[in-house]
Amino acid sequence: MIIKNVIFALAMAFLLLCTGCFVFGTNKDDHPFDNALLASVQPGQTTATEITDVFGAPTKIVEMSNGNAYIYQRSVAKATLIWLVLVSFGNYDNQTDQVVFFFDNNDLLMHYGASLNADKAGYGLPF
Amino acid sequence: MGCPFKCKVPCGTLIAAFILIGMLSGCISYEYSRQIVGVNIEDPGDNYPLGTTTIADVLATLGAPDDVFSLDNKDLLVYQRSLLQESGLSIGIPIFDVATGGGIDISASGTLTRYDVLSFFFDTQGMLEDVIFEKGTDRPYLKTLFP
Repeated sequence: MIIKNVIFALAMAFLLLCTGCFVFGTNKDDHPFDNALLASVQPGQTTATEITDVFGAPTKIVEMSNGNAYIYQRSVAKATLIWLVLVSFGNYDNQTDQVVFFFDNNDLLMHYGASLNADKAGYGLPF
Repeated sequence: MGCPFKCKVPCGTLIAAFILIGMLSGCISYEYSRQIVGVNIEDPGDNYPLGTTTIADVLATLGAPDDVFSLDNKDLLVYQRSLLQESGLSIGIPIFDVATGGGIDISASGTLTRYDVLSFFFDTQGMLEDVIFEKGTDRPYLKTLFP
């Protein structure tokens, strides 16, 4: 009988320790890139003006040794938070869609690179 | 006058369990959080030979870099992933606050951010001069935090 009582008390204590709350959050920075627009970009033909007409103002411009780099960035962050009585856990996953256009000194596109990883951001536990 | 509930477990046991949990809550708490920015970065190995690899080659295989810099006669493309881990443990005994008017609170916390970085250095002609790779996230958390 005593053992049963102890087990019951421990089970109740464990259940109480498991009480808490879960929080899921998403933070999006700007809208995603349109793949059709990216496909229309042609190195050697597209100019910096055409890029800004289509994609808008770049997030950042870097002056390179032979021209400029226009950087466009969108990001998605997803957070998972768990608060229990004795422990709390948090997981934050921040992924970005990033496109960088490299222009020569005449503002003609030389090459560009795209990394579209924003949709890889996910919820989860931190371990 | 006995217990009005006909449960098999004595009320004293239940009350003791609730009191114990009530005293413990807030006494000991542990928190752990992790923040990841960016995707995994692999060791480039010998995939990018110096002198022949161009910026376009790197962009074609790795996509857009996370950052771009211009140094003296060099252009730098950086691919980066960061992993932040934060943990904290606090111990307090609030029942002492009630009993003595003074409390005991002990807390410790640590935050560590490690980076995986892959950097490509190009000359003014856009040819690869150097590649640097570091996998910081492979380092153990506790040993790095407390060397």
